[in-house]
Amino acid sequence: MTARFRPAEAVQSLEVDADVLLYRPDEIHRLTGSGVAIWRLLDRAPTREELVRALTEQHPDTASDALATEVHAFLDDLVGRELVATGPDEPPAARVSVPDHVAWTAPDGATVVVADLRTGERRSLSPTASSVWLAVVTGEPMDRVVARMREDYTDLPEDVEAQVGSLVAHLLDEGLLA
Amino acid sequence: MSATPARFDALGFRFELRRDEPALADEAERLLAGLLVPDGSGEPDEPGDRAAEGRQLTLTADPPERHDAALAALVGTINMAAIAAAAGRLLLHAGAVADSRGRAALLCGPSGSGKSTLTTLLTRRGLSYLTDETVCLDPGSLRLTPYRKPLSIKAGSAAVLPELTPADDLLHAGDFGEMWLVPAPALSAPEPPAVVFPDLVVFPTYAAGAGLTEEDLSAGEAAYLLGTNASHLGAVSGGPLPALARLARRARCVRLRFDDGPRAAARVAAMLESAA
Repeated sequence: MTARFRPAEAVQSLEVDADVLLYRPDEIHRLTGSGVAIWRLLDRAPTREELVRALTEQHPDTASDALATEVHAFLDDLVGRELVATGPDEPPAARVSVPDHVAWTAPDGATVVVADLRTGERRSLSPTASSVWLAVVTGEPMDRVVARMREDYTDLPEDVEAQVGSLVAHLLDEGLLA
Repeated sequence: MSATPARFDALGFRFELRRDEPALADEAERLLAGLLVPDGSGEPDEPGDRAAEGRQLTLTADPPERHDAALAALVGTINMAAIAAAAGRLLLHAGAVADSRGRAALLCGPSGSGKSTLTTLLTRRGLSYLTDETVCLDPGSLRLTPYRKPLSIKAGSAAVLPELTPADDLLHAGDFGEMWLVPAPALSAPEPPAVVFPDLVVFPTYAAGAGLTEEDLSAGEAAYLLGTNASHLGAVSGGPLPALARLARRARCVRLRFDDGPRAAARVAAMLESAA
């Protein structure tokens, strides 16, 4: 299984002008230049290969081998400092986003209303689907989405992970998520 | 001494001194004069308003002739209590002075970087003494709370601060190794304004032969350097990074290398004068 990289949970980060500051008790770190670009990409929980590919696209004039070496060393350093955590590969549904042609709102903070701007169709999601929507669109990993749902709902079926996966797949098929 | 016991305030940590040894207590009260609470002053409303009130600190010289050691220990205890009382604030390892308009210059750096020397030299230029070691800022507004503790002057600064050497009667000329403590009033600097905000942050480095060089820092680098010179970052209300970034963006931040204290102080004073 391919490892994915994401900011460690205990780390706070803040962009200050062109730099990124990282804080974990009781240390402070500063990222500059390509370190900032790599840190931003970690929001997507990429693999090493995805990270190198994304950076290669950003810096087409840089030799990919050199870039890969730099990325690997940088990632290893961040992991060694416990600023970045690694985890197993996750299904794509954990990293979905809302496409430009979709608008959504949660007027009461719980029930999500989604509108497809291509067709004008609006629909209200069920409470469970709304929970899934609110979680996945903020980039929350699938395991945490499920864990949160288990906290919120006491009568969830055993195969809730599969059902969440099916729901997200359905939303992806309909073009409401991408 | 007055019949009413003197009260002191160190970033909200309020205390009195037990007078079991009156001579020693008199000496301590003189040393801590910068922290005196004026008669009739109410309880602190910031920053350490949740700190213990009415503490009585005991002073004991052991052996009896070693007042210096007892006083040094007392100042160390007060420093720790002050930092604890200011939990939640942004605490920087820095000296600070202010002009009459409430604009402060922070001199931020590790021990030996020249903070206390520059702080003292800046008070010679008419600026108010705020602290020589711990700058306490509200993390939201960045308002600065003075901590007018005794200054720690190192022997290496004697050449540029001859009037503050232990020979002076105003000083507690204790044997603290290669440094001594100076009561804040010995600086004869003006009282600080009631409201002070930082407008200049200087990261000084004393280096023989360095001349005088300055370099403006980006907000990112300044925020990082501030963070490396901060205490108890994890306790800062609202998280440390927004407060550090706020300060780095508000104040002009400069790295200063110098080999001549008075010349460097003149330059810092000019920078503060021209600060926004």
